[in-house]
Amino acid sequence: MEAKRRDFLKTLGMGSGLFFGDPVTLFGKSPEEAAQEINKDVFAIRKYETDLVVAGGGMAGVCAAIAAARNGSKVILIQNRSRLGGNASSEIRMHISGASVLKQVWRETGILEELVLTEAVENPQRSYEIWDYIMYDKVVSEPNITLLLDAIVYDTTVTNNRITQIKALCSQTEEIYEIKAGFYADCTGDGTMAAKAGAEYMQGREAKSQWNESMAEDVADKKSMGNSLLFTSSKHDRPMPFKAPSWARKYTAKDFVKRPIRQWEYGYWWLELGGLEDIVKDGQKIRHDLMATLFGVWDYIKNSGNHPESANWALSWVGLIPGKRESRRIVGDYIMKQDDAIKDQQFFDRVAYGGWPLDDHPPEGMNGFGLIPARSIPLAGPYSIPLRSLYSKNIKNLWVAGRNVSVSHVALSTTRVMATCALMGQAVGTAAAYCKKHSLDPAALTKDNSALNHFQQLLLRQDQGLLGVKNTDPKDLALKSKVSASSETPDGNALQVIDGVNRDVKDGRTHQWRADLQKGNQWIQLAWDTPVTMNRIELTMDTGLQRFLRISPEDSVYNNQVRKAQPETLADYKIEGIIKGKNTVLVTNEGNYLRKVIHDFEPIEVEALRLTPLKTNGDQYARIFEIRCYLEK
Amino acid sequence: MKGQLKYLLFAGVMSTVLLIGTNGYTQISNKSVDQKAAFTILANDSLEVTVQADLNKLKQPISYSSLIETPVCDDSLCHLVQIKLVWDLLGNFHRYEVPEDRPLTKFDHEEFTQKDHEKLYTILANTESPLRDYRKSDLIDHRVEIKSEIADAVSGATNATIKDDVIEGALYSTYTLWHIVNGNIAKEIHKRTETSLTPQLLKQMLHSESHHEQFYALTKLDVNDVSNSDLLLELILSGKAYVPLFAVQKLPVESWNSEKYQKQLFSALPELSFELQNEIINKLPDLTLSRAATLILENNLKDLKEQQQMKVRKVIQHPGN
Repeated sequence: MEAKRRDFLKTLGMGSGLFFGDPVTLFGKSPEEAAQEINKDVFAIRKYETDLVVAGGGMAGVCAAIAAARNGSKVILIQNRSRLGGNASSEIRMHISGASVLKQVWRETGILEELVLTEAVENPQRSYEIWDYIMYDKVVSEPNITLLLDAIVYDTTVTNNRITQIKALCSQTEEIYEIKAGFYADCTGDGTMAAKAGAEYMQGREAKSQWNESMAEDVADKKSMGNSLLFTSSKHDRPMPFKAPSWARKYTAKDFVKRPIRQWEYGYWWLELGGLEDIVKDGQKIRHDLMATLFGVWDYIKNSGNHPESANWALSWVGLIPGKRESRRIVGDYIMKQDDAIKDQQFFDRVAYGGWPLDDHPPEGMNGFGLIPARSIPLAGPYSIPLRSLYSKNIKNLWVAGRNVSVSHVALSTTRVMATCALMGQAVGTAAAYCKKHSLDPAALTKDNSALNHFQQLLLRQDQGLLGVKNTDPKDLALKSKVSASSETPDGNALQVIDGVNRDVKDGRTHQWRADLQKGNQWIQLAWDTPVTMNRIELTMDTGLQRFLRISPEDSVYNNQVRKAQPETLADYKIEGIIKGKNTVLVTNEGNYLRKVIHDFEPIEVEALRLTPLKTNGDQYARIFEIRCYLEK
Repeated sequence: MKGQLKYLLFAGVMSTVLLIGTNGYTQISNKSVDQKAAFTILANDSLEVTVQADLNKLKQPISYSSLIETPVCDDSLCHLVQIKLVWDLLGNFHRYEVPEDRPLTKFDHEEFTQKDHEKLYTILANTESPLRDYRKSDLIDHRVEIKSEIADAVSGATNATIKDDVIEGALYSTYTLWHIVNGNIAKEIHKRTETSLTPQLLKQMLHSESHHEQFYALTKLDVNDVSNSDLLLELILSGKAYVPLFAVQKLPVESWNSEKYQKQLFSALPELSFELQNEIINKLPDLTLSRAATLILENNLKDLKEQQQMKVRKVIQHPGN
């Protein structure tokens, strides 16, 4: 009977995925054995070898991947969602915060600036999904990056304190990736890959006695800041009634005494829970509790009677992924503490900066009535972040950037915001590529003074946000030139384009050439005693770093910006090379809105360069922070 | 409010004191008839201080106070500040008194204006001030130098971030006083009250002028004991600040459903805050309303907003829905 059955199945063309009748008799094996036989080829194994694996595609990971790729490393960027951006993406919609909050001049530059300038120009429709797409576009436009979306890192192999391989899984494509790399960067936020690899980490809240932090706890504990769930709503032309689901929480006016509701087109950071639980492992429960909270808060807004103006408003989007603030912090060679944020320490190995207040939230979140939902200690100015806080102390080829870096709980309360994470990502990506080129491990880079200076110069050249580093690049031909100009404003001296500073640093000088285009044609010229050969010109433009610039669902945040090309930015210009009295046009550019612009051309020998600004994006002055010239191999 | 108070210094010296007040300040001290030494404590690193409990005629503490004498030093200039600090029963700042001949000064010897005093009151009352986590040295932005008029000393400009949290020209006085007010003394006072709560003290706190004390007492009240509902009703109808919003959620179901309380709540409805009105209106669908109470409610409908009236009518017209 058994043989006949098998033949019958074969004739019908039924393959190995079928149990027919009595499974025991199907192949003569037990169900478990048969199952293993049947299913083992569903997931295809893909093997990769690369220079840098970036785990996590939030703001830190995106900037790390792009930075490394642009510096010559082959990168694989693994993101466990379908979209890039993490907390900044359309799936969570937290707006990007950082040093702009200081209301001085410190909006973050580099890759993040490139992203937000692009978004301001290409997304007048204020669509969050278009912002996702802009990040996607930037990443896939780098030939050195292989992007793996919906892929989850779940395993690591470590030999002699080095990660030799990681495994990631994508269920949509039924693939398992086995990836070997020289370096790995954990930008997951939770430090998942790092923890799996055995990196030392911290979690919870340290005691005051640990590092003498006045903002720390009297007794150490395992609690953390909570997660928040956001929503957006929009106004309609008729009443939009709302009935809460049965599982929504019920709130009354007492719950909002310390949480004033002034608008509701965008949700609230204080819609926060989870700090008392395991913020990672209890995530499924925390998400549902937050959903119940979100609908409870909306129910209160719509139906308590205390906000009658909400009658015509209805929810347009509800987040299903809570925005996380805190989980693991990977230990590096230096742990940043409260004091490092209160006052800039000017670390010798500074590679990024922050400026958000020390903004700690009690772990009770929305469950703690009567408690202040957050206590924010504003800073006097930005603070530097050292490279030693951006790699693992014990896993030798592991970088970290984003939330999960080497900081105390108190210091995390300021470093955790996304603009700061973006700068950390750029630092780490650039460092990974630099270390590969010079055969260094992360720790070795911080111990080699000359390499470190060289690296900081590279960061500065690539417009990374850095404090107190001046351009001294021996390869920059512009530094050796004599600068002259058609005219300049009293505080816009043309010499400032080679003064080594590429932004306003609140030292009383503008550090830019400024000339009034309304007073006639203007030009700025760099001249050399002996002709020089160059094939690249790099410019740093003014993009109004004293303002905020970021997409946000909150009107008061969004409307307080210039949502297009920034007016100060030079849009149209030409650059000519001059030799033996002859002018050659090297560069013409139109419609520029970026801060850092790089022009490559065939190598040419020149005695002088003349840049003629033709049009700005609205401002009457032509402004240039910096001009650099190189002969690139 | 100005007045004159005599008080005894520990050394037995009689002195007159100028009372500085701000808006909304109430004279707790009028009710204080006696003082009792409560504890001695290190107010900060070097200052040992004796704190008194101020007692009413029932020998209950109504506040805590202490006469502080402390040097305040910046750079090379030091001066002595003499001040009487008063806390409520929970360690919250209540008020201060300064001797007439020893006024608070800024910029070396300029007297505080009334505005300065008002600002200092706000600063001292702010338990979440950034002064808690700034060190003295962080108060000054040393990148900006200022020469002192009096001594040959150079100081910096006030750190811009905390400008609103200090009195300009009296940086270190503000800082020192804030830490004395909100440091160990406040914690100890809170602990003492916490560990010596009697029903009498609790009742006293429920009737306090301080919303902190009222709120604290509310959290300690056994709300399920319906004999406390009279107290709760008082808090609902005349509690301070946000206390009514909490109290209204604590009234037990039996009291909500009793005619006595319904009549009082509905009678008072037009005078209550908009939010409190809504709290009560939102409870109506869950209640069984007495006829007399319903009549009062109907009569007061006209004093409510349209949306509120709609909600109420829905309940009255379909009782038990």
